[in-house]
Amino acid sequence: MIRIGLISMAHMHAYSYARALLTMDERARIAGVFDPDPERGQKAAEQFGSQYFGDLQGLLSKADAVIICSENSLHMEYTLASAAAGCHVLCEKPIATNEEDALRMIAACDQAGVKLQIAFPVRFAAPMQRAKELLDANAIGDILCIKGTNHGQMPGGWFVDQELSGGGAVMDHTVHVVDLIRWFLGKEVVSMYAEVDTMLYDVDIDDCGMLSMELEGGIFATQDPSWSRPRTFPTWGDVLLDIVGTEGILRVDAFAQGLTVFDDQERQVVQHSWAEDMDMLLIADFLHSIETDAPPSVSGYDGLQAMRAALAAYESARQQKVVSVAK
Amino acid sequence: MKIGLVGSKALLQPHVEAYKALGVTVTAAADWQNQPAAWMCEELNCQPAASLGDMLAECALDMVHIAADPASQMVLAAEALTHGVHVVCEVPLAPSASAAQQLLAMAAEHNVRLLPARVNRFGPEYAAAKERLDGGSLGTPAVVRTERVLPIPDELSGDRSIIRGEMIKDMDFLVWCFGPVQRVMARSTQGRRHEAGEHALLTMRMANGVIVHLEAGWSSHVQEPRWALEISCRSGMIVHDSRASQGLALDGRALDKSLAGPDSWLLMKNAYIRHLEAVLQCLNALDNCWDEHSEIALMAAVDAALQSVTSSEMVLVQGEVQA
Repeated sequence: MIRIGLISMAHMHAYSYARALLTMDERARIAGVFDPDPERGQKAAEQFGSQYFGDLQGLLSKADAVIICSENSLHMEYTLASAAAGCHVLCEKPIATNEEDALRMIAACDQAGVKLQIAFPVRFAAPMQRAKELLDANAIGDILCIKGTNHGQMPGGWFVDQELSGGGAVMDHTVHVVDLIRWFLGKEVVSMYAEVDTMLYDVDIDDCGMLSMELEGGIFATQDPSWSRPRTFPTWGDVLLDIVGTEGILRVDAFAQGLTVFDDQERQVVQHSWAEDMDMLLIADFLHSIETDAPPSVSGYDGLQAMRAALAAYESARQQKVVSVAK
Repeated sequence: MKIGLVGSKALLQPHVEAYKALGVTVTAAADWQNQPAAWMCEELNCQPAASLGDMLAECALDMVHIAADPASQMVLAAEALTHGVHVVCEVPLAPSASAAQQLLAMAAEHNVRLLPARVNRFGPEYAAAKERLDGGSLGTPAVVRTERVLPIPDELSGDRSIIRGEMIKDMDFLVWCFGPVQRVMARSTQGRRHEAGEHALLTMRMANGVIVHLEAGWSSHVQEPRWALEISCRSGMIVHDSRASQGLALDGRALDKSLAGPDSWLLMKNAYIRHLEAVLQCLNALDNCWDEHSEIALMAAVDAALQSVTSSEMVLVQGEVQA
């Protein structure tokens, strides 16, 4: 039985990860909730039938592994503390807000001999898993280019606070699509051009952008990370990839599996998903890597490379030119 | 008004249908490679000509409608304009912005009009999107996406570019709605290992700040053309997808698909007919209804996109300055 500590409920994914853990009570249990916001932490602990810890070390002493869903800028601090306590780490994306923090997180977990997995749940969506199988089977020949989108609604809260999030729509959504592209192709992004701006909302952070990148082997890709879904949109957003190969075109939509519901009571149109729960599959994968002592399926380095691409997008937009992406 | 047609069958065919639908008399027609255009004359009951030169010399034309490749159009349009004849010409008018500028100057010199054929603006879905934008209820536009993926055309030759040949239609719509393009980052499979066709992905920044993504492709892997448009604004969004807007679909293994008719959109007047009506109205009124000079801004954006594909760098559109 793996004891999982929840560190911060600041990110909404914390709640779906916790719900997933409750369905896996033969493999894991929630050891407790730490949150610097006591009200939020106590409420979550109560919701999930667990204990609230006002002291991080108190939780770490009771846990084998942690799930970190704090504001992005705090990922490093919590990861270092967890690694020092010998806890495996599943950290919400993006890995961090800057390269130095990410490298420290990776090094700390390496040195402590604990796993560091970055939470990219979209990899675990059934259409994405099937797309990966098709691409690995060379179903559409050599890949030429990819058009990606990860649109969303403007999340508000700490997501629009530069100090806490490290960036707006481009930071929030670039990492998902870059991670999928890297995973699908096994190739790194080598250069980036981006337009980044604040045009949709009165916020002090980017809310829209457009990225154009080149990967190893001359493959190119674009990505639209904009928080451009209006409030009346039937769902929060999308993750969509059109992959153009020499033998075919593969279109994969992580969130297409749903009903459209017209609800007069609520006066809205909503999408009701009937897809397999990607968050549950992500948690199951994290538990499996601990149970079998296997390397995490999505490593700290994967998180670093996705974040580097997002940071390169900001740099490109600042310089208004193509910039290279480190690896 | 005495009208002559010159060009390739693939490009002129839908226009020929429009002339027929409106019952507009066409005086003469010629193939772009100076061959008599028997097919057009059978359709339109007009006089076949051996060349544009013959038509101009013998038919006292008022207007010539040209649809050929950009380099041929440049030559044909110049010939017609110097004869003092109005010209309607497919876009791109010419191989470059500077060449298009020369043609427009030639038209002014001879006191005739050179009207770029902007059929896409007359597509009811694009016209409706523009109308909705202009209505203002959706607020300031911010992010726009366009898509246009088609089967590889029969007449695709090695020097054709998907950006110049197809994406230009969406770029024209964008220039119409949002004004000139400031900068372009373009990538294309052209010249890379690809059995045929081409796929291009562009990001653009309009001078008014709007951020754009454009996709265009000729692919042997698609059976039906598809096109899409998405405009995100501060207070809402416009979405159109050709695949979701068909008024009629006919399935059945043994059925004759042509029974569904050539236009599953079921329009009384398609974009070509609406376009031709506007052309004739403009030339009859000889007013400022066309704004052909915005063609230079469009062509400059196309030139920048092609340059960006070659250099793999962002290219500022000539005449535009950085924000």
